[in-house]
Amino acid sequence: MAWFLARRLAHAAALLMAVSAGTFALAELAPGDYFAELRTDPRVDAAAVETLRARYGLDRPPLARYGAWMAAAVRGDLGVSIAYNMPVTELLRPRLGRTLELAGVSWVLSWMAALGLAMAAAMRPGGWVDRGTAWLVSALLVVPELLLAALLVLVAARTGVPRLGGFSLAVAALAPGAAPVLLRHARAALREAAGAPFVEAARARGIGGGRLWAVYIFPAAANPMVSLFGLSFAGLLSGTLVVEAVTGWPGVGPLFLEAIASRDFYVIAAVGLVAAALLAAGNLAADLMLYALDPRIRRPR
Amino acid sequence: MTWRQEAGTLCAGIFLLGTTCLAAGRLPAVEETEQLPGVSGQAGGALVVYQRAEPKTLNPLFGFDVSSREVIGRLNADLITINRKTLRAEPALARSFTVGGGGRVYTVKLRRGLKFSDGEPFTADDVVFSFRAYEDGKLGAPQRDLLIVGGEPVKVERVDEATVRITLAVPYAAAERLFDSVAMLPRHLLERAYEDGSLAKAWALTAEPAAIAGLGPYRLKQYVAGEKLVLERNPHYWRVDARGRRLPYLDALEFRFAGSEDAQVLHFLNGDAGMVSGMGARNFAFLAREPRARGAQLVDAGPGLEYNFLFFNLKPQPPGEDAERSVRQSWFAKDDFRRAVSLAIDREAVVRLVYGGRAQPLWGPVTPADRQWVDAGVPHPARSIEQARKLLAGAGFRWSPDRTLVDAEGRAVEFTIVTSASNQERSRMATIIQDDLSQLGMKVQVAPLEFRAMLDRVMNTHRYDAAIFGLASGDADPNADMNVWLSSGGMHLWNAGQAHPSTDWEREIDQRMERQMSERDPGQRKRMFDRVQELLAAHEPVICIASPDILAAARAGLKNFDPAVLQPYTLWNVDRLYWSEGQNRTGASGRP
Amino acid sequence: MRRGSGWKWAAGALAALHAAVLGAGFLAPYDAAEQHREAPLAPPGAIHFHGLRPYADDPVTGEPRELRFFVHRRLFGVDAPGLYFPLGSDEFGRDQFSRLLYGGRVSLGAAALATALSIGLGLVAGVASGLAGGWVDSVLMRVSELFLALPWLYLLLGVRAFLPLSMPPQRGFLLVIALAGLLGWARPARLFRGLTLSLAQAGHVEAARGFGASRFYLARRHIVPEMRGVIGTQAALVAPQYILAEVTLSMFGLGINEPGLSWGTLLDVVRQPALLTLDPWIALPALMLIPVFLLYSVCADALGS
Repeated sequence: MAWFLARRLAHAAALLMAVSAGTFALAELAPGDYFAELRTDPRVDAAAVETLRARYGLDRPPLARYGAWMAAAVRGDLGVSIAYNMPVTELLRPRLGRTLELAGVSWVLSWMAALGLAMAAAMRPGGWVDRGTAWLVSALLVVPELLLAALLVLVAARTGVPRLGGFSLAVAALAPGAAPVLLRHARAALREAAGAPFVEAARARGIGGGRLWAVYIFPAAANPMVSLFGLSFAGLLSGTLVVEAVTGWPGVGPLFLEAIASRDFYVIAAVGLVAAALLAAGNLAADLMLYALDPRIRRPR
Repeated sequence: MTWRQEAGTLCAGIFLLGTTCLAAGRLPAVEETEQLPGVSGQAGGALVVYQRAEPKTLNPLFGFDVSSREVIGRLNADLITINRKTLRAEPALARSFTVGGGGRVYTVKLRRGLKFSDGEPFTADDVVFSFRAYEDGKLGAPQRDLLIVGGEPVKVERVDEATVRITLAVPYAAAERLFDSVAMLPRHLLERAYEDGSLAKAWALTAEPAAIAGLGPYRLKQYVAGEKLVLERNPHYWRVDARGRRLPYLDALEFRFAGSEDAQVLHFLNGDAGMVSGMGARNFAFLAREPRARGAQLVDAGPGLEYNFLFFNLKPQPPGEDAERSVRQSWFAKDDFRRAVSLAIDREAVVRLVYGGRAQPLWGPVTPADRQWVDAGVPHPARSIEQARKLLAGAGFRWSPDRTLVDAEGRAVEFTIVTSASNQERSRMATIIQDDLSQLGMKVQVAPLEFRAMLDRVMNTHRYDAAIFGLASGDADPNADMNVWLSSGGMHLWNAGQAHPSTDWEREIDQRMERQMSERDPGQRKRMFDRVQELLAAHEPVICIASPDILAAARAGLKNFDPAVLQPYTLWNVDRLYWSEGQNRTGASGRP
Repeated sequence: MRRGSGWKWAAGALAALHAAVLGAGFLAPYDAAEQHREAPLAPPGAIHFHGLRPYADDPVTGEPRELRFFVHRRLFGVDAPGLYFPLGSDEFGRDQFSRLLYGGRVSLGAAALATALSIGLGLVAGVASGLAGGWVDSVLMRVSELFLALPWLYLLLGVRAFLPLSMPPQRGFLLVIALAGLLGWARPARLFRGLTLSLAQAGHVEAARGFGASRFYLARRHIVPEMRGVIGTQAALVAPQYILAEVTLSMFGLGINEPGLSWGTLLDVVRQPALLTLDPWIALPALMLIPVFLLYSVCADALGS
């Protein structure tokens, strides 16, 4: 167990390092910097802009900046936002809370919807629920979060429900994006489990109805779904970016998009790092759950 | 979530009402408030405003984005301010000022007995301290450049408790206008931060309200990250209405953040916001049509100071750089080429199709809003493809059999216009220009780039042919745009930072601009700047196209709503805005 | 929806759509960029019949114009100077129907390219990873995790900015989408790896391996052919995502902007409530796209079952 955990943690750490380095390099590639816009003010001289750039170390070579930032990040200091002129951690904390709230609630709702529909569909394969969900899945899979969010904003603006800029609007735009993938997998897993020999055997022994589902089929189907647990949360997190920006939910999304547009380097790098950390944590949690549930994984391959 | 916030606002309102009644009752005899004649209204209520983006800081030294300035301007006040309606400089915290020493010495008498929003007195020491901070080279506040006249920062000395003397190195026309938006800082709160070098970090959004004080109509009450910024009435504000009651009328001013213009408008429509400004024509037409916005005050304040223009890259390429671009630049450098382009552009179509009629066509950078400075002598030639073709033919261009324009060596005239992808109006302008120029046989490519990527090309790498850009003068005075017109200026967009003016007309513009800057006779200045405008119209280094109207809306009950053409368009007179009797007094709908 | 003829006609309809888009030069009544500034935001031209002859009201003058086939070397239209916009016109008086057809060229082309790249690369990486096992597998899977986690938006921002300016916006966008496809290999790769692992355990594959077949042979003869259905499903699932990705990309100035043209620009109206309210027919082309996306998902479902 300890060895397994250690190896997974090492993976996660390596992933974090690579993501942060990659984010930094990519942000560096985009042309222009935060003060480019200030330079277009005819009343501000180029020299003043240089002074400001120097204050935030933008005049230093990228590698030196990355090194300094990483060294500080290890100690929990994610740098200073150029735009907001305050520590990035202070900037992120309240917004990250809201984003996690949004992703968390959407996550629970999408799992509940997916499991419920998948059960209903798997109980009567080929029935109207099954066919209906298949269509729903196909439709939802193609629609990008942005489009769905924009449409919901239109509805909210027309009818006032859900409230513009509110939490329910953001959830309504985010959760449907995650549900179809879950639904698809859950339906497949349940159907496979329902057709397994031991279920047939149980049926032959006269076990049926709720007991059959609760005791035999569901536990067997849970296994392949567990690995989706972490991944689906990560998927939802990346979806919050656009959904928050369009629906006006004040999470990390609008901050991040603004930071990209204004080249607020340390905010970009910090959000990249935090997102990767959440992703790694999700994967790790899924791995550990699988480890607990499935003895086969414990054997080294 | 909402009901809690609304309840909070309500409680604050009740509390405030109590304190203001107390404060309004007895003004100290020595307090020299400014009485606004003709202003009367009723106190109470709150106004909710949705900003496009969240403000970044409350630090007047380092807030330079529009949202931050909008908030900072409500929290602070200036010695001398530019009246947004008349566009003239007026004393504000200064009771009066006199100019002596050949236009170099300003003696400013401060209003006596004024207090910062935390109750501490405002004196000449605060003024001296403020200027020291703004002008500190190590601190590097962007406004420092405004306060450098003749190569030296203006010198500010204390004469007595309520008098300061401001000395300029050289005479500077209308120098009093420089002091607009230079907020006076409280020495008692910021001096320590200044001494230990942490002033740049002071007054972040997350700062304690008690650590912030200003002389504006409002003071900070609460900030909820990413969501809202709540200001409350400053009980020590120095303006009173016609009946002697202390302003402002509104108890609270709440800024929320919408993220986009469309969201701002939707929030107004839904009744969440009391006013909306900086709208495009389409949203304005939308509000006019929407039954839910019925009764709202929709105001078209006419063209602002923004001028949108097309310009060509005339900066010589460094040796070894793109040889083909040098060929293209040889066309751009011809006056007749640029004049032909200007003649071919359908400005009327831009105004009608891009701005829905809510804009003015332009033939020069000074918009009709700047009544004092616009030169009536600048010609407004009508669009003429025929005339444009004549000019091109005269400049050695020909047309190949397939109607493509070619130069004297037979090379097809092709070039690319860069625009900012995030600015829809300018992208649409490019669509029209592309089509117009194709009628001259020019093959024009339009490349919408992400805003900062575009700036990088135009201002740093200079790897572009032509660009569509817009500038809004910071002030209705030629001095504000010195950096654009001087050939050595960093914003002399078409050929920035020249060691020596490369053309005769640029040299003449340099001379006129320099001379008008130190000229004290307004008539003389006007004549010099008229000549500059005529030179620009004759040589068209910037082909001006249109100036959009300033459009704003407010709920029916908001009185004294009077949008101006200079930023901040709608909140400049927030100290006298009020809700009329019987109106919803929060600006937000009562929906639970 | 079930296997059978369903996917055949869906695939046929998709093929016809691609052909229509390629033939826009003939099928569309106008050129996509042709401006009629006298008729901005005109509603769709209503058709009525006098006897057997169809007429459409001119958006400028209001008088009826006879609709004819083979006008100005186009399939249908009205004689100049009359105008006929089947789906209305946009703010510059450009024909929306023509824009829908011409716009498909970029969008369908870009989607096909990006899909081919991401699925192809994912297939190679996934199968190689699954068959090779060991360190190759772990390195590829770690790299795929990294690819899933990195914010690629900046790379796309940067690349767009470095492209030569004289490049037409459509081609620039094609490059951006292709790059997005290249970067999108990780998700399919993980799927194909899992499939490879399970297929490799099948009896006949084990047998072939027993006879000393090389890994490349196994992949070519057994693994990839067995995955054809999944590859088709994946492609049909991913392609519309790349068409729609443009709507998101355009939020960052990476999509196609004026005066460029694509389906993404036609769909972008949903982000403009004012325009939708004032001139609702501007959303018609966007509505026309819904059946297109349905076709893709019918294909995906039929192939998947």
